[in-house]
Amino acid sequence: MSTGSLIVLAIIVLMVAAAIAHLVNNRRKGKNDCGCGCTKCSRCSGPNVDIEDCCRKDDRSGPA
Amino acid sequence: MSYTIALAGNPNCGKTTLFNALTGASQRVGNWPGVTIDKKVGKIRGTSSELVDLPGIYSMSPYSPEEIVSRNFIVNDKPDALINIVDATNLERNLFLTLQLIDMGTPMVVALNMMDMVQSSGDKIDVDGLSKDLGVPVIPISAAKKTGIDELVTKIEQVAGSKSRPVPIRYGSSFESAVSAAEKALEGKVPDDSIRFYAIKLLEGDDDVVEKAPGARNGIKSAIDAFEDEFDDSADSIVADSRYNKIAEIVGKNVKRAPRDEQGTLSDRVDRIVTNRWLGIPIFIGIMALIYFIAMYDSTWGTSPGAWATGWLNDWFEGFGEDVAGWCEENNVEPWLSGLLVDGIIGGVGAVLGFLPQMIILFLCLVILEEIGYMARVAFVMDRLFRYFGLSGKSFIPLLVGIGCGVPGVMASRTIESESDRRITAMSVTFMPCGAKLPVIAMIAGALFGGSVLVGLYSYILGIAVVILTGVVMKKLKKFSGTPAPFIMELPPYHSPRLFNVAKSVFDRAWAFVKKAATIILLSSILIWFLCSYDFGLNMVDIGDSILAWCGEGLKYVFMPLGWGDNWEFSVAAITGLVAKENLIATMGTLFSVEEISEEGEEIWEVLAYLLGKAGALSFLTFNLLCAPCFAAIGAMHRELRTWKSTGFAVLWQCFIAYLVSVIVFAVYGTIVGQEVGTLSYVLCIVNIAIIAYLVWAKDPFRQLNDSEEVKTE
Repeated sequence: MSTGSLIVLAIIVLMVAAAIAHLVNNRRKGKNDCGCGCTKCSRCSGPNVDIEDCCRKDDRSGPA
Repeated sequence: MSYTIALAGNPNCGKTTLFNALTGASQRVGNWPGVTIDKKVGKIRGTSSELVDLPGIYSMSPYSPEEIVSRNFIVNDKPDALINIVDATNLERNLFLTLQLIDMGTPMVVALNMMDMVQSSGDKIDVDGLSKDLGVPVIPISAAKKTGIDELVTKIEQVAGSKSRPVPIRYGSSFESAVSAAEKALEGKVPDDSIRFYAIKLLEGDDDVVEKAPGARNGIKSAIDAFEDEFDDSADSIVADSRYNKIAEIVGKNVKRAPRDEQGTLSDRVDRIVTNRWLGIPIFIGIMALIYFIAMYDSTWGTSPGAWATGWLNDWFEGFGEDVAGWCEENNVEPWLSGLLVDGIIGGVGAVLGFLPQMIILFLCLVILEEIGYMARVAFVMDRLFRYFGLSGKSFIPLLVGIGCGVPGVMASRTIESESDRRITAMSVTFMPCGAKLPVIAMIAGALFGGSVLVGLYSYILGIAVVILTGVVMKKLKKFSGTPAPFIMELPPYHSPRLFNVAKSVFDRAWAFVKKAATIILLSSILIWFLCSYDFGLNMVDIGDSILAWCGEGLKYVFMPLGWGDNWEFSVAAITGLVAKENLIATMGTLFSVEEISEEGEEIWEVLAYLLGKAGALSFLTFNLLCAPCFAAIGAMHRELRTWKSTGFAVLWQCFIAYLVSVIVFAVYGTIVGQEVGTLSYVLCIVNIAIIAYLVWAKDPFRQLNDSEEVKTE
């Protein structure tokens, strides 16, 4: 494999790894990837929001 | 010391703004009620105390989900203290909740918000007098301008530390006798601290309290009868009247109003025009047309800033792709790696990012409209239209939120009290064009319609029309039937947009768009490139022999009546849009790059125009605006609809109606513009119109379904 190929491969691997790490990290923090930027949406933001309070979990306190 | 402090107040009185000012959080602030749906927690800056932001409520009666969340928290979780935020420009209405909170006996401070607006109107409030009459500390603040915040923090910590309970407000001897009787009946059955609150609720006949203390209301029946006889009214009306009389007395003593212009305030005068019965909707359409003109127009009258910047960025990405391809060739990069980088990643992600300038302009205009208070007027105007079709005007707030993103839009539907309205709204929100669909609108408008504002307007009008259609049809199903819930909405006064809020909001949305392109879209583009470059034996092949072509070939027949022609690429793009709607563009960017169509001298979007034609493109846009939303939004729908059966039904309905409407759009618009429309499309168009007409006008189109439901219930 040529040096050029190795450079391109390294760039692609880095980009993919960064994208996957970002998505996994979001999942762990309980943010979803809805595009509104979950931390900015009405329900999920705040510096101390627990995963319980965020998008993934159904924690409705009101009636069904 | 660390305390738990609750923040309670009426809807749209600046609670979330104060929460952000106190905690340093950056929660979404909306200039319409119902932004806070659930309680949220943050740490007050400079202290170790916790602040709980409760949803906006008008009273402590459990009539809506927000009121239940707030009441349950204050009653059951017993915070150490309460900040009751009050809109100082509208004391009469806001103090009703204050009086109820005082009765609960929790240590509290009243934060008199929007004092800057009171001062600018020339009104004067005697803060000390108000504090004396209410029996609680009152701190004048402006949450938006961050004035009085430090004093508020100091006072609330002091009140929470000293546990100083508010002095109950007395309403007259007969009232107090009835309350005393109720308090005696409730002794030992409810917490002593809040016994006055429960006693008044018992007099009102509050279901929760009656249930909590069985037999207590019957035990004081004679006292209640005497109370009602004396005032010749029901107990709950007497309680409300007494509170409003007390509020009138307190406000009369402590507020001096400056003389008002006979024509009303500037907000009143503007509202007379923008919320006018006949002008309201045309003005809304005009404003949206102007926004799309600034963001997208590129035709006879010149090029708009948005279209110019997008054109420039697209050219840059194209040039960048060519430079990278050249570099790869010079450096003997393996063809598959070069293809992946240039066609897959740059082609896919670049196609999406190219629309960033137009997105920024659209976000900017929509945020400004929300900031100044216009969007609340839109909800008010739409209420009339919605009620005409038997829907609740309250449904429009989630639709407005859904213009930003479908996920919070679907979540916002939980503010609707009526179960059926709530479910219909949750399954309709994603018909509105969300932020992710804006680049698709921009692409179709730019590629085929010279950036015409009509494409943008069409998308919103289509969204609203299908929401109404869904509401009308669903109401005929037994489980969704019922009268629409009443919609009470306060229109906030207009104010100039705050630069920081606007800049932050636009940056957040634009950054979310870029992040999404660099993550989900990037990974999807790589997958799409792989699927369209390899066959099942993992050999690199021409796109026509690829895995994706094999899948798309089967799908394309389903979409042929929609005018997408013999091109499987569009069917595949519609399916990849389920991951994220921007993926539509990334998929076409990747596919057309791999097919090397653009290298023949044509821009990708020109190829799109050539393959679809105007009618096919409009049907493609229609289908993708209305069909099942992205997975994140489907997940949100599931959380609101609760069962996969209901969610599946909602997704099926969305795809069904998208297909029906797209065929009609293709056949009708194709005939108008003289595009070739096949016999199958014409036949399906007539059948689809008949189906829609039957669903709308038939008295009971779901008779069998409703009957089987009835049998199950029995």
